[in-house]
Amino acid sequence: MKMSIRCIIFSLLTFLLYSGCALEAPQPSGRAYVYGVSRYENLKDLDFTDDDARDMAALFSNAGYEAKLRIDDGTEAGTGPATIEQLEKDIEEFITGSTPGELFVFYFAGHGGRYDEIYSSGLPEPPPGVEPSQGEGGDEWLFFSGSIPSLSYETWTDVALKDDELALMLSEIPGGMKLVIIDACKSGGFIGDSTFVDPLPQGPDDADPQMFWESLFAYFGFSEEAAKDIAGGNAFVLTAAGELENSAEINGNGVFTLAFLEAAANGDIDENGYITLHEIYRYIEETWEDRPLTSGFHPHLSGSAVDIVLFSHLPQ
Amino acid sequence: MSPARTIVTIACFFLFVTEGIAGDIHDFEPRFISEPAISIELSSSEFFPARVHYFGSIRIGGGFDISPRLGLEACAGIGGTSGSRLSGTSYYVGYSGAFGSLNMLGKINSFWGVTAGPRFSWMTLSDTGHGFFFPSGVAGLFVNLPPRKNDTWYLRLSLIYAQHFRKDLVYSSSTGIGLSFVQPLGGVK
Repeated sequence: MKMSIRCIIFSLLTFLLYSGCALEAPQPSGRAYVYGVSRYENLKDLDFTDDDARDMAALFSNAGYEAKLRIDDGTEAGTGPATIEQLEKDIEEFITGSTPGELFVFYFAGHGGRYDEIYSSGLPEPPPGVEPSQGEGGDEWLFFSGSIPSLSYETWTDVALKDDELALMLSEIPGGMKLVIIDACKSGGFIGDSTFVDPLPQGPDDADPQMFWESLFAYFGFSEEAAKDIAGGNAFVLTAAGELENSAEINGNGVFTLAFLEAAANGDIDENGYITLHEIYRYIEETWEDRPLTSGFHPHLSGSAVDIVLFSHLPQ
Repeated sequence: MSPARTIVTIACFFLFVTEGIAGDIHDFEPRFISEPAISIELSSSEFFPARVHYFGSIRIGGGFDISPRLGLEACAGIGGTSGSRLSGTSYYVGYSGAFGSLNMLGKINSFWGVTAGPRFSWMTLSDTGHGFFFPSGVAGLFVNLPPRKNDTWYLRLSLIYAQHFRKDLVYSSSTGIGLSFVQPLGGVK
Protein backbone atom coordinates (compact mmCIF):
# COMPACT_ATOMS: atom_id res chain seq x y z
CA MET A 1 0.00 0.00 0.00
CA LYS A 2 2.76 2.38 1.00
CA MET A 3 4.55 1.61 -2.22
CA SER A 4 1.44 2.34 -4.29
CA ILE A 5 1.12 5.79 -2.73
CA ARG A 6 4.73 6.48 -3.53
CA CYS A 7 4.20 5.44 -7.11
CA ILE A 8 1.16 7.71 -7.44
CA ILE A 9 3.02 10.70 -6.01
CA PHE A 10 5.97 10.06 -8.27
CA SER A 11 3.72 9.81 -11.32
CA LEU A 12 1.92 13.04 -10.44
CA LEU A 13 5.18 14.89 -10.04
CA THR A 14 6.34 13.62 -13.40
CA PHE A 15 3.08 14.71 -15.02
CA LEU A 16 3.34 18.19 -13.52
CA LEU A 17 6.88 18.50 -14.75
CA TYR A 18 5.82 18.01 -18.34
CA SER A 19 2.45 19.71 -18.33
CA GLY A 20 3.67 23.18 -19.41
CA CYS A 21 1.94 24.78 -22.37
CA ALA A 22 3.61 25.90 -25.58
CA LEU A 23 3.83 29.57 -26.49
CA GLU A 24 3.88 31.28 -29.84
CA ALA A 25 7.01 33.25 -30.63
CA PRO A 26 6.43 37.01 -30.83
CA GLN A 27 7.39 39.05 -33.86
CA PRO A 28 11.14 39.69 -33.91
CA SER A 29 12.13 43.20 -32.95
CA GLY A 30 15.35 45.11 -32.64
CA ARG A 31 17.60 47.76 -34.06
CA ALA A 32 19.82 47.22 -37.07
CA TYR A 33 22.87 49.42 -37.58
CA VAL A 34 23.87 48.89 -41.18
CA TYR A 35 27.29 50.01 -42.39
CA GLY A 36 28.55 50.07 -45.96
CA VAL A 37 31.93 51.44 -47.00
CA SER A 38 32.72 51.64 -50.70
CA ARG A 39 35.15 54.58 -50.94
CA TYR A 40 38.69 54.25 -49.63
CA GLU A 41 41.78 56.36 -50.05
CA ASN A 42 44.62 53.90 -49.68
CA LEU A 43 42.68 50.77 -50.51
CA LYS A 44 40.82 50.01 -53.68
CA ASP A 45 37.23 51.17 -53.85
CA LEU A 46 34.49 48.59 -53.71
CA ASP A 47 31.62 48.56 -56.17
CA PHE A 48 28.58 47.32 -54.28
CA THR A 49 29.13 47.53 -50.53
CA ASP A 50 27.01 50.68 -50.31
CA ASP A 51 24.26 48.88 -52.22
CA ASP A 52 24.62 45.95 -49.84
CA ALA A 53 24.02 48.26 -46.91
CA ARG A 54 20.97 49.86 -48.50
CA ASP A 55 19.44 46.47 -49.28
CA MET A 56 20.13 45.10 -45.80
CA ALA A 57 18.70 48.20 -44.15
CA ALA A 58 15.56 47.84 -46.24
CA LEU A 59 15.32 44.17 -45.35
CA PHE A 60 15.48 44.76 -41.61
CA SER A 61 13.25 47.82 -41.81
CA ASN A 62 10.57 45.90 -43.67
CA ALA A 63 10.85 43.11 -41.12
CA GLY A 64 9.95 45.45 -38.27
CA TYR A 65 13.37 46.47 -37.09
CA GLU A 66 14.45 50.05 -36.59
CA ALA A 67 17.18 50.32 -39.20
CA LYS A 68 19.92 52.99 -39.24
CA LEU A 69 21.95 53.32 -42.44
CA ARG A 70 25.62 54.37 -42.37
CA ILE A 71 27.30 54.80 -45.76
CA ASP A 72 30.82 56.08 -46.42
CA ASP A 73 31.21 59.62 -45.07
CA GLY A 74 27.52 60.04 -44.36
CA THR A 75 26.88 62.78 -46.93
CA GLU A 76 24.12 60.80 -48.58
CA ALA A 77 20.70 61.91 -47.42
CA GLY A 78 19.21 59.77 -44.70
CA THR A 79 22.49 58.15 -43.73
CA GLY A 80 25.19 58.64 -41.17
CA PRO A 81 28.94 58.21 -41.50
CA ALA A 82 30.26 54.66 -41.53
CA THR A 83 32.96 55.38 -38.99
CA ILE A 84 34.15 53.79 -35.77
CA GLU A 85 33.01 56.84 -33.85
CA GLN A 86 29.51 56.42 -35.26
CA LEU A 87 29.47 52.76 -34.26
CA GLU A 88 30.39 53.75 -30.73
CA LYS A 89 27.49 56.22 -30.72
CA ASP A 90 25.12 53.61 -32.12
CA ILE A 91 26.06 51.10 -29.44
CA GLU A 92 25.56 53.75 -26.79
CA GLU A 93 22.19 54.62 -28.27
CA PHE A 94 21.14 50.98 -28.18
CA ILE A 95 22.26 50.53 -24.59
CA THR A 96 20.34 53.56 -23.39
CA GLY A 97 17.32 53.39 -25.68
CA SER A 98 16.47 49.76 -26.27
CA THR A 99 14.05 47.66 -24.32
CA PRO A 100 14.87 44.19 -22.96
CA GLY A 101 14.57 41.49 -25.60
CA GLU A 102 15.39 43.75 -28.51
CA LEU A 103 17.97 42.36 -30.88
CA PHE A 104 21.06 44.43 -31.63
CA VAL A 105 22.18 43.95 -35.24
CA PHE A 106 25.44 45.29 -36.64
CA TYR A 107 25.99 44.75 -40.35
CA PHE A 108 29.20 45.72 -42.11
CA ALA A 109 30.12 45.57 -45.79
CA GLY A 110 33.55 46.82 -46.77
CA HIS A 111 37.19 45.89 -46.65
CA GLY A 112 38.47 43.39 -44.13
CA GLY A 113 42.01 42.31 -43.59
CA ARG A 114 44.55 40.66 -41.35
CA TYR A 115 47.62 41.81 -39.56
CA ASP A 116 50.27 39.22 -39.02
CA GLU A 117 53.97 38.59 -38.95
CA ILE A 118 54.55 39.93 -42.41
CA TYR A 119 53.96 43.45 -41.22
CA SER A 120 55.85 43.26 -37.97
CA SER A 121 58.86 41.41 -39.38
CA GLY A 122 59.88 44.20 -41.71
CA LEU A 123 58.97 42.39 -44.88
CA PRO A 124 57.64 44.50 -47.72
CA GLU A 125 54.15 45.78 -47.27
CA PRO A 126 51.49 45.11 -49.85
CA PRO A 127 51.44 47.76 -52.56
CA PRO A 128 48.73 50.43 -52.53
CA GLY A 129 45.45 49.13 -53.79
CA VAL A 130 45.97 45.62 -52.48
CA GLU A 131 43.97 44.55 -49.49
CA PRO A 132 46.31 43.95 -46.56
CA SER A 133 45.69 40.33 -45.81
CA GLN A 134 48.27 37.61 -45.90
CA GLY A 135 49.33 34.49 -44.08
CA GLU A 136 47.95 32.89 -40.94
CA GLY A 137 47.86 34.21 -37.43
CA GLY A 138 47.24 37.69 -36.14
CA ASP A 139 44.29 40.00 -35.81
CA GLU A 140 41.56 40.77 -38.28
CA TRP A 141 40.38 44.26 -39.05
CA LEU A 142 37.39 46.01 -40.55
CA PHE A 143 38.21 49.15 -42.50
CA PHE A 144 35.67 51.86 -41.84
CA SER A 145 35.24 55.12 -43.71
CA GLY A 146 38.21 57.44 -43.49
CA SER A 147 41.74 57.79 -44.68
CA ILE A 148 44.37 55.20 -43.94
CA PRO A 149 47.56 57.31 -43.86
CA SER A 150 49.62 54.40 -45.13
CA LEU A 151 49.56 50.66 -45.30
CA SER A 152 51.62 50.46 -42.16
CA TYR A 153 49.75 48.66 -39.43
CA GLU A 154 50.46 51.32 -36.84
CA THR A 155 48.47 53.89 -38.80
CA TRP A 156 45.32 51.82 -39.05
CA THR A 157 43.94 52.29 -35.60
CA ASP A 158 41.92 55.44 -36.31
CA VAL A 159 39.91 53.97 -39.13
CA ALA A 160 40.26 50.21 -38.75
CA LEU A 161 38.56 48.23 -36.02
CA LYS A 162 40.26 45.12 -34.68
CA ASP A 163 38.29 41.97 -33.84
CA ASP A 164 39.07 42.17 -30.14
CA GLU A 165 38.07 45.82 -30.06
CA LEU A 166 34.71 45.06 -31.63
CA ALA A 167 34.26 42.23 -29.12
CA LEU A 168 34.92 44.66 -26.29
CA MET A 169 32.45 47.18 -27.66
CA LEU A 170 29.77 44.51 -28.00
CA SER A 171 30.37 43.23 -24.49
CA GLU A 172 29.11 46.56 -23.16
CA ILE A 173 25.65 45.70 -24.47
CA PRO A 174 23.91 43.68 -21.77
CA GLY A 175 22.33 40.33 -22.58
CA GLY A 176 22.97 37.93 -25.41
CA MET A 177 20.67 39.28 -28.11
CA LYS A 178 23.39 40.62 -30.39
CA LEU A 179 24.07 39.74 -34.00
CA VAL A 180 27.05 40.75 -36.12
CA ILE A 181 26.94 40.19 -39.88
CA ILE A 182 30.10 40.93 -41.83
CA ASP A 183 30.52 40.84 -45.59
CA ALA A 184 34.25 41.37 -45.88
CA CYS A 185 37.46 39.51 -46.60
CA LYS A 186 38.90 37.50 -43.68
CA SER A 187 35.74 38.16 -41.69
CA GLY A 188 35.69 34.65 -40.23
CA GLY A 189 38.48 35.79 -37.96
CA PHE A 190 35.99 37.82 -35.97
CA ILE A 191 34.34 34.64 -34.73
CA GLY A 192 35.60 33.52 -31.36
CA ASP A 193 35.93 29.75 -31.55
CA SER A 194 37.04 28.86 -28.07
CA THR A 195 34.06 26.68 -27.19
CA PHE A 196 33.04 24.95 -30.41
CA VAL A 197 34.43 23.57 -33.63
CA ASP A 198 33.49 25.10 -36.95
CA PRO A 199 32.87 22.29 -39.44
CA LEU A 200 34.41 24.29 -42.27
CA PRO A 201 38.13 25.01 -42.66
CA GLN A 202 39.14 28.67 -42.47
CA GLY A 203 40.86 28.70 -45.83
CA PRO A 204 41.91 26.67 -48.84
CA ASP A 205 45.03 25.33 -47.14
CA ASP A 206 43.41 24.79 -43.77
CA ALA A 207 42.86 21.16 -42.80
CA ASP A 208 39.38 19.79 -42.22
CA PRO A 209 38.63 19.88 -38.50
CA GLN A 210 38.53 16.72 -36.40
CA MET A 211 35.16 17.52 -34.91
CA PHE A 212 35.07 15.33 -31.82
CA TRP A 213 38.61 15.77 -30.58
CA GLU A 214 38.83 19.43 -31.40
CA SER A 215 35.57 20.18 -29.61
CA LEU A 216 36.86 18.26 -26.61
CA PHE A 217 40.13 20.17 -26.58
CA ALA A 218 38.31 23.43 -27.26
CA TYR A 219 36.45 23.01 -24.00
CA PHE A 220 39.33 21.96 -21.79
CA GLY A 221 42.00 23.87 -23.65
CA PHE A 222 40.38 27.24 -23.18
CA SER A 223 43.10 29.85 -23.51
CA GLU A 224 43.38 33.60 -23.35
CA GLU A 225 44.29 33.67 -27.01
CA ALA A 226 41.20 31.71 -27.94
CA ALA A 227 39.09 33.97 -25.77
CA LYS A 228 39.77 36.86 -28.10
CA ASP A 229 37.54 37.70 -31.03
CA ILE A 230 33.79 37.74 -30.51
CA ALA A 231 32.99 34.87 -28.17
CA GLY A 232 29.83 32.82 -28.55
CA GLY A 233 28.36 34.16 -25.32
CA ASN A 234 28.96 37.73 -26.43
CA ALA A 235 27.20 37.82 -29.79
CA PHE A 236 26.13 35.72 -32.74
CA VAL A 237 28.45 36.29 -35.70
CA LEU A 238 27.76 35.45 -39.34
CA THR A 239 30.50 36.20 -41.84
CA ALA A 240 31.00 36.05 -45.58
CA ALA A 241 34.33 34.25 -45.54
CA GLY A 242 36.72 32.26 -43.41
CA GLU A 243 39.63 33.67 -41.49
CA LEU A 244 41.97 33.03 -44.42
CA GLU A 245 39.54 33.67 -47.24
CA ASN A 246 38.56 36.63 -49.38
CA SER A 247 34.98 37.48 -50.19
CA ALA A 248 33.67 38.77 -53.51
CA GLU A 249 30.97 40.94 -55.02
CA ILE A 250 28.99 40.56 -58.20
CA ASN A 251 25.85 41.85 -59.95
CA GLY A 252 25.04 44.65 -57.59
CA ASN A 253 25.77 42.99 -54.26
CA GLY A 254 28.34 41.11 -52.32
CA VAL A 255 27.96 37.41 -53.05
CA PHE A 256 27.29 36.68 -49.40
CA THR A 257 24.90 39.58 -48.88
CA LEU A 258 22.91 38.56 -51.94
CA ALA A 259 22.62 35.05 -50.53
CA PHE A 260 21.55 36.47 -47.15
CA LEU A 261 18.82 38.55 -48.80
CA GLU A 262 17.52 35.48 -50.58
CA ALA A 263 17.66 33.41 -47.43
CA ALA A 264 15.63 36.01 -45.58
CA ALA A 265 12.89 35.53 -48.15
CA ASN A 266 13.12 31.81 -48.82
CA GLY A 267 15.02 30.29 -45.90
CA ASP A 268 12.12 29.01 -43.82
CA ILE A 269 13.41 25.47 -44.08
CA ASP A 270 11.07 23.97 -41.51
CA GLU A 271 8.15 26.01 -42.89
CA ASN A 272 6.90 27.21 -39.53
CA GLY A 273 6.72 30.89 -40.47
CA TYR A 274 9.91 31.91 -38.71
CA ILE A 275 13.36 32.30 -40.21
CA THR A 276 16.14 31.82 -37.74
CA LEU A 277 19.82 32.57 -37.94
CA HIS A 278 20.65 28.88 -38.26
CA GLU A 279 18.15 28.52 -41.09
CA ILE A 280 19.68 31.46 -42.93
CA TYR A 281 23.15 29.99 -42.58
CA ARG A 282 21.93 26.59 -43.70
CA TYR A 283 20.10 28.05 -46.70
CA ILE A 284 23.18 30.00 -47.75
CA GLU A 285 25.43 26.95 -47.38
CA GLU A 286 23.10 24.67 -49.28
CA THR A 287 22.86 27.10 -52.21
CA TRP A 288 26.46 28.33 -52.06
CA GLU A 289 28.09 26.09 -54.64
CA ASP A 290 25.48 27.04 -57.23
CA ARG A 291 26.31 30.73 -57.00
CA PRO A 292 28.91 32.49 -59.16
CA LEU A 293 32.25 33.57 -57.72
CA THR A 294 31.92 31.43 -54.60
CA SER A 295 34.88 29.17 -55.17
CA GLY A 296 37.53 29.61 -52.55
CA PHE A 297 35.43 30.88 -49.72
CA HIS A 298 32.48 29.90 -47.55
CA PRO A 299 30.33 31.78 -45.06
CA HIS A 300 30.96 30.99 -41.40
CA LEU A 301 28.74 31.16 -38.35
CA SER A 302 29.66 31.35 -34.71
CA GLY A 303 28.78 28.17 -32.92
CA SER A 304 26.17 28.68 -30.31
CA ALA A 305 23.73 26.17 -28.97
CA VAL A 306 21.13 28.93 -29.09
CA ASP A 307 19.49 30.14 -32.25
CA ILE A 308 17.49 33.34 -32.71
CA VAL A 309 14.46 34.18 -34.78
CA LEU A 310 15.35 36.96 -37.22
CA PHE A 311 12.33 37.22 -39.46
CA SER A 312 8.73 36.17 -39.32
CA HIS A 313 6.50 35.44 -42.25
CA LEU A 314 3.49 35.06 -40.02
CA PRO A 315 0.79 37.73 -40.25
CA GLN A 316 1.34 40.51 -37.72
CA MET B 1 29.67 28.33 -9.05
CA SER B 2 32.34 26.62 -11.06
CA PRO B 3 31.60 23.23 -12.65
CA ALA B 4 34.05 21.44 -10.37
CA ARG B 5 32.63 23.04 -7.26
CA THR B 6 29.10 22.23 -8.36
CA ILE B 7 29.96 18.58 -8.89
CA VAL B 8 31.75 18.37 -5.55
CA THR B 9 28.79 20.01 -3.81
CA ILE B 10 26.38 17.57 -5.39
CA ALA B 11 28.59 14.67 -4.46
CA CYS B 12 28.93 15.83 -0.84
CA PHE B 13 25.20 16.31 -0.53
CA PHE B 14 24.72 12.94 -2.04
CA LEU B 15 27.08 11.28 0.43
CA PHE B 16 25.36 13.04 3.29
CA VAL B 17 21.94 11.87 2.19
CA THR B 18 22.83 8.31 1.49
CA GLU B 19 25.32 7.56 4.23
CA GLY B 20 23.77 9.93 6.75
CA ILE B 21 20.29 8.56 6.47
CA ALA B 22 20.94 4.99 5.66
CA GLY B 23 24.62 4.49 6.16
CA ASP B 24 25.93 1.29 7.62
CA ILE B 25 29.37 1.11 6.12
CA HIS B 26 30.76 -1.38 8.61
CA ASP B 27 31.40 -4.90 7.41
CA PHE B 28 31.54 -3.82 3.82
CA GLU B 29 33.78 -5.38 1.22
CA PRO B 30 33.93 -3.36 -1.97
CA ARG B 31 33.35 -5.54 -4.97
CA PHE B 32 32.52 -5.21 -8.58
CA ILE B 33 28.98 -5.89 -9.61
CA SER B 34 27.64 -6.26 -13.05
CA GLU B 35 24.36 -4.50 -13.47
CA PRO B 36 23.82 -3.63 -17.11
CA ALA B 37 21.12 -1.09 -17.70
CA ILE B 38 19.52 0.24 -20.85
CA SER B 39 18.13 3.69 -20.23
CA ILE B 40 15.84 5.90 -22.22
CA GLU B 41 15.90 9.48 -21.07
CA LEU B 42 13.57 12.26 -22.13
CA SER B 43 14.33 15.70 -20.88
CA SER B 44 13.17 19.24 -21.38
CA SER B 45 15.87 21.87 -21.38
CA GLU B 46 15.94 25.60 -21.01
CA PHE B 47 18.57 27.87 -22.36
CA PHE B 48 19.05 31.56 -22.19
CA PRO B 49 17.69 33.40 -24.13
CA ALA B 50 14.61 31.38 -23.34
CA ARG B 51 13.82 28.27 -25.25
CA VAL B 52 12.89 24.69 -24.71
CA HIS B 53 14.00 21.55 -26.36
CA TYR B 54 13.43 17.89 -25.86
CA PHE B 55 16.25 15.49 -25.62
CA GLY B 56 16.02 11.77 -25.89
CA SER B 57 18.84 9.37 -25.37
CA ILE B 58 19.60 5.72 -25.05
CA ARG B 59 22.39 4.66 -22.78
CA ILE B 60 23.86 1.44 -21.57
CA GLY B 61 26.14 0.92 -18.67
CA GLY B 62 27.17 -0.99 -15.60
CA GLY B 63 28.71 -0.31 -12.26
CA PHE B 64 30.11 -1.46 -8.98
CA ASP B 65 29.47 -0.93 -5.31
CA ILE B 66 31.82 1.18 -3.26
CA SER B 67 29.84 0.84 -0.03
CA PRO B 68 26.63 -0.87 1.04
CA ARG B 69 24.72 2.22 0.06
CA LEU B 70 26.81 3.66 -2.72
CA GLY B 71 27.48 2.51 -6.21
CA LEU B 72 29.21 3.93 -9.22
CA GLU B 73 27.63 3.57 -12.61
CA ALA B 74 29.28 4.34 -15.93
CA CYS B 75 27.14 4.80 -19.00
CA ALA B 76 27.60 5.67 -22.63
CA GLY B 77 25.12 6.07 -25.41
CA ILE B 78 23.63 8.23 -28.09
CA GLY B 79 20.99 10.91 -28.06
CA GLY B 80 19.13 13.36 -30.20
CA THR B 81 17.11 16.51 -29.82
CA SER B 82 14.25 18.38 -31.35
CA GLY B 83 13.41 21.97 -30.62
CA SER B 84 10.48 24.26 -30.19
CA ARG B 85 10.43 28.01 -30.33
CA LEU B 86 9.58 30.23 -27.43
CA SER B 87 9.90 33.91 -26.70
CA GLY B 88 11.38 34.83 -30.03
CA THR B 89 14.44 32.68 -29.68
CA SER B 90 14.81 29.15 -30.59
CA TYR B 91 16.34 26.00 -31.64
CA TYR B 92 18.89 23.93 -30.05
CA VAL B 93 19.14 20.97 -32.33
CA GLY B 94 21.67 18.23 -32.22
CA TYR B 95 21.22 15.23 -34.40
CA SER B 96 24.04 13.16 -33.10
CA GLY B 97 25.94 12.78 -29.96
CA ALA B 98 27.90 10.36 -27.89
CA PHE B 99 28.22 10.77 -24.21
CA GLY B 100 29.53 9.12 -21.17
CA SER B 101 28.41 9.65 -17.66
CA LEU B 102 29.64 8.57 -14.28
CA ASN B 103 26.79 8.40 -11.84
CA MET B 104 27.00 7.88 -8.12
CA LEU B 105 24.03 5.82 -7.02
CA GLY B 106 22.77 6.15 -3.48
CA LYS B 107 20.69 3.16 -2.55
CA ILE B 108 18.54 4.37 0.29
CA ASN B 109 16.76 1.05 0.21
CA SER B 110 15.70 -1.48 -2.37
CA PHE B 111 12.91 0.80 -3.59
CA TRP B 112 14.42 4.23 -4.03
CA GLY B 113 17.64 6.15 -4.06
CA VAL B 114 19.41 9.22 -5.31
CA THR B 115 21.89 9.66 -8.11
CA ALA B 116 24.46 12.29 -8.98
CA GLY B 117 27.50 12.65 -11.14
CA PRO B 118 29.14 14.22 -14.14
CA ARG B 119 28.01 13.65 -17.68
CA PHE B 120 30.09 14.31 -20.74
CA SER B 121 28.30 14.93 -23.99
CA TRP B 122 29.36 15.76 -27.48
CA MET B 123 26.89 17.11 -29.96
CA THR B 124 26.67 18.55 -33.42
CA LEU B 125 24.03 21.01 -34.50
CA SER B 126 22.01 19.72 -37.42
CA ASP B 127 21.54 23.11 -39.06
CA THR B 128 25.12 24.29 -38.91
CA GLY B 129 27.33 21.27 -38.28
CA HIS B 130 29.12 22.89 -35.36
CA GLY B 131 30.52 20.52 -32.76
CA PHE B 132 30.25 20.99 -29.01
CA PHE B 133 31.63 19.34 -25.97
CA PHE B 134 29.00 19.54 -23.36
CA PRO B 135 29.76 18.58 -19.75
CA SER B 136 26.95 18.54 -17.23
CA GLY B 137 26.38 17.90 -13.57
CA VAL B 138 23.48 15.54 -13.04
CA ALA B 139 21.41 14.82 -9.93
CA GLY B 140 18.21 12.90 -9.50
CA LEU B 141 15.90 10.59 -7.66
CA PHE B 142 14.99 7.09 -8.73
CA VAL B 143 12.65 4.30 -7.79
CA ASN B 144 13.00 0.66 -8.62
CA LEU B 145 9.92 -1.17 -9.86
CA PRO B 146 9.56 -3.78 -8.53
CA PRO B 147 11.84 -3.19 -5.54
CA ARG B 148 15.29 -4.37 -6.31
CA LYS B 149 16.23 -7.97 -5.78
CA ASN B 150 19.48 -9.76 -6.21
CA ASP B 151 18.77 -11.84 -9.23
CA THR B 152 15.81 -10.49 -11.19
CA TRP B 153 15.47 -7.62 -13.58
CA TYR B 154 13.68 -4.45 -12.60
CA LEU B 155 12.78 -1.06 -14.01
CA ARG B 156 14.26 2.12 -12.66
CA LEU B 157 12.26 5.31 -13.07
CA SER B 158 14.29 8.47 -12.54
CA LEU B 159 13.70 12.18 -12.14
CA ILE B 160 16.76 13.99 -13.37
CA TYR B 161 18.13 17.49 -13.15
CA ALA B 162 21.17 18.40 -15.19
CA GLN B 163 23.13 21.62 -15.09
CA HIS B 164 25.06 22.13 -18.30
CA PHE B 165 28.34 23.94 -18.30
CA ARG B 166 29.00 26.03 -21.37
CA LYS B 167 30.89 29.27 -21.52
CA ASP B 168 28.60 30.59 -24.22
CA LEU B 169 25.34 29.95 -22.40
CA VAL B 170 24.24 32.19 -19.62
CA TYR B 171 21.88 29.61 -18.28
CA SER B 172 21.45 26.04 -19.34
CA SER B 173 19.81 23.17 -17.60
CA SER B 174 17.59 20.17 -18.18
CA THR B 175 14.94 18.38 -16.23
CA GLY B 176 13.85 15.00 -17.33
CA ILE B 177 12.61 11.54 -16.69
CA GLY B 178 14.49 8.36 -17.34
CA LEU B 179 13.41 4.79 -17.65
CA SER B 180 16.02 2.06 -17.27
CA PHE B 181 15.84 -1.65 -17.64
CA VAL B 182 18.29 -3.16 -15.20
CA GLN B 183 19.43 -6.75 -15.22
CA PRO B 184 21.62 -7.72 -12.26
CA LEU B 185 24.18 -10.29 -13.23
CA GLY B 186 25.48 -11.05 -9.79
CA GLY B 187 26.93 -9.54 -6.70
CA VAL B 188 24.08 -7.18 -5.98
CA LYS B 189 23.90 -6.35 -2.32
